[in-house]
This record gives sequence, structure tokens and C-alpha cells, in this order.
Amino acid sequence: MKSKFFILIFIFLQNVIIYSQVIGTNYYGRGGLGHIEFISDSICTVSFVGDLPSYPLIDTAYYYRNGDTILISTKIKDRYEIRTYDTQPKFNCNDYAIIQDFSKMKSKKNAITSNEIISFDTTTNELYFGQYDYEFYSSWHSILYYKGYHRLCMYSCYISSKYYNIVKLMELETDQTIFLNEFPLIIKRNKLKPLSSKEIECMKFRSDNGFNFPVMKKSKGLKNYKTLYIKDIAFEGIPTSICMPESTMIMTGEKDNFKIRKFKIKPKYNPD
Amino acid sequence: MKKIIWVFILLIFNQLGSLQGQSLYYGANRFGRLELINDSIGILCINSVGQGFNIDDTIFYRQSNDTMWLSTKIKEKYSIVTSDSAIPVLNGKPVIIRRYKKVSDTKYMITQQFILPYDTLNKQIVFNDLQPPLEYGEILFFDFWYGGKFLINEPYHPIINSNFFAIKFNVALASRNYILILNEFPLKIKSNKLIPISNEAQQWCWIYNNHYFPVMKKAKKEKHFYTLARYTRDMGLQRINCFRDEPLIIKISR
Repeated sequence: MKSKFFILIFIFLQNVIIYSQVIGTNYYGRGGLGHIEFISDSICTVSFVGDLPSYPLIDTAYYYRNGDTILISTKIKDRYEIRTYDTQPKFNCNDYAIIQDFSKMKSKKNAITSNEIISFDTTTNELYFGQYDYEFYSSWHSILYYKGYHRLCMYSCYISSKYYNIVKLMELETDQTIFLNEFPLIIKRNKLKPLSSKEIECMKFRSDNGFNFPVMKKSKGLKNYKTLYIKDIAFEGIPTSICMPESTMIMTGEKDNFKIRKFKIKPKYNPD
Repeated sequence: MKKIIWVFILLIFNQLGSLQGQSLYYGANRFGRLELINDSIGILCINSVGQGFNIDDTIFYRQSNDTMWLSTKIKEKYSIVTSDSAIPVLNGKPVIIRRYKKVSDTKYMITQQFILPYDTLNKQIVFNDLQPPLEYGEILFFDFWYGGKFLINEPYHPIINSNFFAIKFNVALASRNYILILNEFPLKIKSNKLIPISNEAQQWCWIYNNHYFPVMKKAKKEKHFYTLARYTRDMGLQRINCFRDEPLIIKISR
């Protein structure tokens, strides 16, 4: 009888210890990036993104525990919703957006390689992809421009140009800055650890939010922390909103001769 | 008598040869070829649509002392229409338009991207109440097959103060894919060289032709030379490096 009582007490204390590890505590990311604060047994706040000047953007998130794992979700779980149709759906195009593909150049810097015009419904925040309109599956790193840059990293498994697709941009429906869909974090001592970056959950997080979820460490008090500039998270590889003109031009000659020549934006020709 | 005739013929040939030698020029780094055919017309080859497909453009020139001015038949790629009220917009293929602001002598910053229909009937793009208004020195870039850069400068500056305006594309350009545009481009004749003398004219040449005019050197014989590959759509501002090396980290103080 006594041993049963002690076992029950032990289990109760174990749960209390595990809960107390989480509730009412602050966690800060490795390198000082980001902050999570657990407010109650189901609600927490997450802050990984900031706006200038030094203004953190804080999202409310929901969580539950499953063993030693915490699963966190934001109110809107995905950055975009995709609906696929066999036949042409009704769509009200009242504006256009630009989809830009980018890739790494020889200089190891990213550059935009193509621009596509996509029909856009500003009342429903939906993009329209007609059948065979745009070979989207070949594009792994796409960004959307509509009055600013937005993430649009759709992988081949999500959209196919064989069908008609309507993509709703949830980002434009909410003030939410990051999107979490049952994102798992393992409680280990005083840390919250995400799965390996090769796991689908982490890849999806990076695809949706533009950065890897850092290992979070418990802190006794409130501390200074860092956030990513919100205009940077539109992109894979963290690009900028400032664009410099290309300074090279390709010249052709006879036979197979060609060369790439750099030129200055402001030439200086002064014969005297 | 026969001897005199032969000497005369040889002299004429010699004269012709030396004239031809005087009229043939190649650009620095062998970029482009200019041949002056007579005292007002020449052929400038500086563009191509691919390997072995060079484009010869006829140019007209005039000379005064040591300065030469080059012009092409079509001197303006665009014209403008301003209005006090909204200009009717006809449906057409959507065109991506980008605005660039000069931030230093060598750098431009992309400030805005948007899409407007290209009116194929009037060969124009209509801007009704563009916000923020255009500023002097900005560049508009039209991303379509005979689009290109448009500098907000002389002679197009009236659109700065106009809420409603249209930019018309030269109809001749629509019928010809590739064309060189020069409008009284000044070159100084010095020794055996033709040297561009105006930075403003060079900037103008880059805006509307996508390259700077090279210093040209006289040649006695035909040489191998390079041309600008227009088929690559390498327009100077088109393939923009739009990415930060490192993410911008903001420090949050508690």
C-alpha cells in the first residue's frame, strides 16, 4: 500500500517538475536569437522577428505536451493555403503580383533570375495559377512581390502546373509574423531542442519562415535578445530590399569567342 | 604617256586605301566597329543577337573642328503624353515596371515594382496617379521584349509634375527588335582616336543602349571585334543583386 502511495507521489512530483520546467519561464535562442515565454499551460508568446527601430513583434502561440515533447502552433498555422482544381475555377483577377525566382551566382551571391506575372485577387488575397501557366515545380526558391516581398517557397510536392491552383496568402490576412504548425520541441534539462534540420518539420519551418528554429535555453529572468528584420524573412537565404544593378555585360565575338566585361555606372572619360 | 596614266591610277588606289584606313575604327578592348562611309554617313556595329549575328546600324555624323557628333535615324526611344485628367487605359498584356533611385554615383536602389497593361493599340503605358510621384533622375524599367530603361530627365521631365501621363514607345522599335539610339553623341577627335567627352551623354547611352560608348581607335585593316549580346537581355539593371550577405539582426533591449 505504502509503495503504491509513494509511486503516485513520485509520478505527481515528476509531472509537477516537468510542468514547472516550462510554465512561467522564459527561453532564449542560441546566440540570443528569439524569445519564448510560456504564460499558461497552453499559451505562450514567441518573438523571433522585429521591425525597426528595435521593435520586437510578438505572436501568441498555443502548445501542448506529449511526453517530453512540446508541440507549438500559431493561430494561423501555414503561410499559404493551396487549393487544386481539375477544371478552371472561378477567379476574380483585379491586380497582379510578381513571382521572382532566384539562384546563387558564381560570386556566391543570390540574384533574381526570372520574373513571372501572376493574377491576384486583392479582396481574398489569392493568387491564380492557370494550367501550364507557370512551371512552378521547377522552382525551389521563389519569392512574391506585391507591395513588398513575401515568402513563397513552394516545393514540387505542394503545387503542380498540371492542374489549376489557387494559393491564398495567409500572411496578408493576419499580423502574425511567423507560422508554426505543431512544431515539435524536445524538453531536455533546461533546453528546448528542435528536431534535426533534415526532418520534414524543420524543413517546413525554414520554408515558411526563412530561418532555422534555434535551440532555446531557459533563463531565470528577462534578458536582451535579438530578432530578424521582418523584411528579411521573406526570403530563403536572407536577402535584402536594396538591389544593386548588374555591372557586367556579355559580349560576343567571332566563332566561339565571348567575354564578360564589367562596366562602371558612372564612366569617366576626359580626353584632356 | 602610259607611264603617267599608270602612276595616276596607282595614286588614286593609294588615296582610296588611305581613305579607307582613316575611316575604320574599333572600340577599346575591341568593343564595336565604326566605319565612316562618306562625310556624313557611317556604319556602327556594336550590338548582336547572337554569335555571328552582328547588327549594323547606320549613323549620321557631323564634324566641327575636333569634335564629331553621332546620331541615328531614330533619336528617341520614347515620347510622352501628359494630361490634366485620367488617361483611358485599354486592356493589354501586363508589363512589370520597376522604379530605381540613384543613391550614389555608382549605385541604384529598387524602390517599387508594379504591373500595368501595355496598350498595344496606342503603343503606350498609362500612369494615372502614380504614387509616390516620380523624381528627377529616377529610372523606370519596362520588363518586356522591347522595353528597357527610361530616365526621368530631359526631355521627359514634364511627367514629374503630372498626375496623369503616358509613355509611348516608338512605333519603329516595335517593328525592329534591336536598334541603336544616339542623339548628337559627342566624340572628340584626337590623334587617331574618337573619344567620348560627355559623362551625361555616356549615361544617356547606357540608359537607352545598355552600354557605354567605347573610345574608338583608328585601324588600318579589318580586325576581330566584340559586340554586345542583346539576346541575353542583359540590361544593366535587369539582373539585380538583391540579397543581403548577412541577415539584419535587431537587438531588443529588455
